[in-house]
Amino acid sequence: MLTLTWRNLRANLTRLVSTAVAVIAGTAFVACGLVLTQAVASAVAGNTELQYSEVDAAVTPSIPSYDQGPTDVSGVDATLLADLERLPEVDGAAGDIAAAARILDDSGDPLRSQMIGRAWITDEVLNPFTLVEGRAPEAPGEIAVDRETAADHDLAVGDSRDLATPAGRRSATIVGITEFGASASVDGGGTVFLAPQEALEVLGAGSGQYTQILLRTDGSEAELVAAASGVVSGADVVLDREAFIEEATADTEAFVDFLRPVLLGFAFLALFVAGFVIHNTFTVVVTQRSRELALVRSIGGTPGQVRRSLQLEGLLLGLGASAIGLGVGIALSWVVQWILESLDVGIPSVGFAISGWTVLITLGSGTLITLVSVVIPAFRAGRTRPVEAMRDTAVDRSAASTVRLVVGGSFLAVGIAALLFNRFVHAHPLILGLGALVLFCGVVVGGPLLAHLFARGMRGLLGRSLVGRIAAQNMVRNPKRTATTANALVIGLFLVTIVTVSGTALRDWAIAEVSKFSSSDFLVVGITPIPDDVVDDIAGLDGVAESTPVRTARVTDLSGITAQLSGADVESLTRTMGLEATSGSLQDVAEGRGAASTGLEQALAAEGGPGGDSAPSSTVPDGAGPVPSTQVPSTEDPAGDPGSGGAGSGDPGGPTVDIGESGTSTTAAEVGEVYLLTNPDGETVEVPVAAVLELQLDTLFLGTLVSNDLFTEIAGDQPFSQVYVRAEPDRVDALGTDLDNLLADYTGIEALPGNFIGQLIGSAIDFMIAAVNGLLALSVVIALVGIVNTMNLSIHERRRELGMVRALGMTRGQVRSMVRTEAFGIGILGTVIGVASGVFCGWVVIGSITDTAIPLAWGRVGIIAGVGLVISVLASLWPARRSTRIDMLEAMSAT
Amino acid sequence: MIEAYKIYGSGDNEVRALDGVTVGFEPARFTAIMGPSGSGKSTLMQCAAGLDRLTAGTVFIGDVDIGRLGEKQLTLLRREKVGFVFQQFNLLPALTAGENITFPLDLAGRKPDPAWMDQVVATVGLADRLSHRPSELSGGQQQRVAVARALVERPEIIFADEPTGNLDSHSSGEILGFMRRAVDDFGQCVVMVTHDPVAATHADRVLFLNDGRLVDELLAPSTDQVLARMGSLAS
Repeated sequence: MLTLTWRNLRANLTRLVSTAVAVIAGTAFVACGLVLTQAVASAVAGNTELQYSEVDAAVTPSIPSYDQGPTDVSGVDATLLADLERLPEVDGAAGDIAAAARILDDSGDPLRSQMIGRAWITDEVLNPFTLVEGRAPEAPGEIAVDRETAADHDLAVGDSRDLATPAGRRSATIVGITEFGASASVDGGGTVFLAPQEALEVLGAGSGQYTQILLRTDGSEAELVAAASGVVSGADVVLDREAFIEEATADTEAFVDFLRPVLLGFAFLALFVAGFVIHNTFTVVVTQRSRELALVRSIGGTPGQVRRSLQLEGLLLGLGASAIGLGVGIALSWVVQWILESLDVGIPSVGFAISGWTVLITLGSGTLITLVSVVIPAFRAGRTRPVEAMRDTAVDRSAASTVRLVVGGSFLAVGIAALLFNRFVHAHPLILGLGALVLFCGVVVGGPLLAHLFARGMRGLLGRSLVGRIAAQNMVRNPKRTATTANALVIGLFLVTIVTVSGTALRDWAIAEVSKFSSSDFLVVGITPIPDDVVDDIAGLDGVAESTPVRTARVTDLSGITAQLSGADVESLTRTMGLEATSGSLQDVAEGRGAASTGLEQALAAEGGPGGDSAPSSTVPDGAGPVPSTQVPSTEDPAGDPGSGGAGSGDPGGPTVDIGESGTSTTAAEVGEVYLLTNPDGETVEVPVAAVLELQLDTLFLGTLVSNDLFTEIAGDQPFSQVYVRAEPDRVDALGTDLDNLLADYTGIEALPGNFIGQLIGSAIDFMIAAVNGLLALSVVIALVGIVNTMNLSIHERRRELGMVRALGMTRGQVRSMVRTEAFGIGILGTVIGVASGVFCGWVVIGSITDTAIPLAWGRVGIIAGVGLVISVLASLWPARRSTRIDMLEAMSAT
Repeated sequence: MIEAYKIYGSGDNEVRALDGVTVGFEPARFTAIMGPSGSGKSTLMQCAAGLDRLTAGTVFIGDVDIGRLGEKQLTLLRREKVGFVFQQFNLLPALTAGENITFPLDLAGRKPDPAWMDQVVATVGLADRLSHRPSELSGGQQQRVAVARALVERPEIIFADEPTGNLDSHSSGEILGFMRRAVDDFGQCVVMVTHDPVAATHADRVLFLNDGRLVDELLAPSTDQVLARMGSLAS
């Protein structure tokens, strides 16, 4: 039997190629996803390891960078460096700072869009970068660049270039070219180094803070950490080597951990679709070979032998195609990397990483899906009766049986009923999911029936054209095969439609919700501090009615919760933002008598104020849930009794701390309550809540608002980090452009339009829809291969019939158009079912989001249907060509 | 058909399927072509019907030299001037019996002449079967549909390739009877390739082919005569 299997594979090689294509496409995607994510992960891990290879401990802000909000300006005070260097345990220390900085060309545009500016580390042991040419930057205005950037943009030692930095535009002279280990730079988008002192001023934009301070010792790491912890206080922490490396890679790992399952999910979906194609091909192959199989049976082959020979064929095909897929996938990952690199998106230079797992998963999934898809055809082949060897033509067993009608029909009915129930009566994700699943099963089981109905409709539609009528009839010669072919397309288009329809609705709904809030016209936010002269420049722009600069700081309350505090001229801010208080008085806030809370839950914990009548226990003022006392990180709690007392000195009212599990308060502050905050000197400052702000878009950026004076009292002297701008009514658009131009030289500052959250949500959801659909496109392409494959096999089966109609006087054009109509019909069948069920499910999903009527995105549905149309046309071209190559004489020759 | 040569391959592998055959088929005449396997009878018919092209020589259908026609014109000529009956019944399973009969006319976008259609259908005895699908018809009935399909377009010539090869003797006799009537009653020209000496006796004349050459001809043949000739060819 092995010989037979092998001979069959060889004899049918061309026919199986298209099957293999489906498997190859799917497995290549699997392999590419695995290789890429792994390469990125290991490259980042390797880079981090290399970058901090000599670091024994590090001082970092207590909130890791990835937990900070968009406007947080947080680092480690530069003055700390000198203190640390004086410690005997410290044998080397360096202030590490990294921020966006771009080398500009003559017209002021950045050479590379993702460049990072770094402080040159003077401690040679700690510094992971090496000079390949020139010297290190030492004086202001001196820079070094990585060798890749230098080579790509013709930069040489001695060249002068302008530099856009968080502190604005600088002119600089290149004094050195650097590299990082074996690669050019640790930053995918290139690195520019500044002298340490200038880096602190320019990259820190006057904050006087390093991103982190790196320490090394020749002695014990534990002693180093202990000693450094003695010097460091407040908002900073000392991390030992292990914790520091972990934190440094956490960002990327989280990203990779997120990306990998997503990519693999789509890859496996593509393989699932490929399964339909494989199943179909083998079913047809078995039908075609039924005489041969029957012959094998009649000369003594057992059903098991016949079955196994086919399964073996599937195994070999699956394994072979998966191996090719693996190779293609690896090649593809190179291509993707090359594209990403030439787009300069700034992923770290990756290289190449193939693990045993990648090989195993790729080969395993491809082979498994092929084997599973072959099970039914192989079983059917085993059932071939010897007598069929004597029959003239292969008998097709599939028909629209009653069982199919009942089962498929009830699946469809139950699915639709569940979804309608979900839409109109009671929405629940479980009902939605199960309903969609049952509906899908109904489409698969009832597919042949739908094909019948569709063909009848098509026949009616094309009734006047003989060729069209025959084509429609041919479609249901084998309804099961037609349905399976169409279903491959259904899956892809169904998912694309549902994602698009519900995604678009979600976006429109979210934008509509968001735009109910008012806001300033522009919000200028800095990842790095906004220099005072920029604040003045903004105020001086034409078209600015009023601008209000805001200082922000992270403050910690007594229970250890850190939140954002903003200080501003509240009266001015009231005008630029249109602030309103839901309770309390903004006047009190403006005059420094208290703070304005955003009224959001994730703000600072407030305590019952003087007028508060809350119980002096650990219950929440409004009685919402118990306090998880163990969750309170109360290192600064003088009472040493977390949860119950909490407050300690100077607490005038009922000492109740209200803290949720995530470390934030579960209820919003109310007027009359008191914030207990720790100032930089470690003293506790009482701040009563004087007003609660009405929620609007940009209050999210404010956090807790106080007057300028109060802010300085609590948080000390801080740079500006936000400017709210009210434009003159007819100058909004022009001002936007002016702001962008003004801020172009400042890499850390951005001007956001007032409705930017809506835009952000819109573009984020649009991006998701596009990304998901892009990934689903693979499934649709495989479905296309499936239609072509099925049609080619059908033509092969009917070659005698096609020869006959040619002999009877059907022109080549008519034969082509007949075959084309049939293939097109299958494509349209898949499109109609896929899009219709997608729209239906999407419509149900919309109902789950909101009660308000959101119009379906018919435009986009139209586009998807158009894509289905194009796929159908494409699917019809190749088989049609093939059909006319049929030799007429075959019709005459008796087989 | 004049000085027809059909040569496959070349040099030592050369096969002369037709080696200088000249033959004519007249209206109202039923011709049978016989010969052993590989004698070239199928090739002769395929070339004469415009399904295949000659290596050398000329084929006229009516007064049209079909060697000069392009693929499309040839197809249209087949559609209008040539009828076929095949061994495998070769009906379109997608169409009803009636639709199958009018298929060549439909291809040309012509309507069948109702009177003629009725006459043909009555002749082959299918009046009550027109709305049936081929799968609902017996082998003999299917072949009757095929004969009716060949007749309904009133072609210049009908080619039948082993039309009785797959039928029992009763059905064979019926089919041959219909073709006989088509020749006698409607003046149709029919050319039939067959192995069956009994079938050949229904013809007006029998042509014998061997090694691509016309070797013998028999008018108003009897079964014994045919068998004798075949025997001499085989030896």
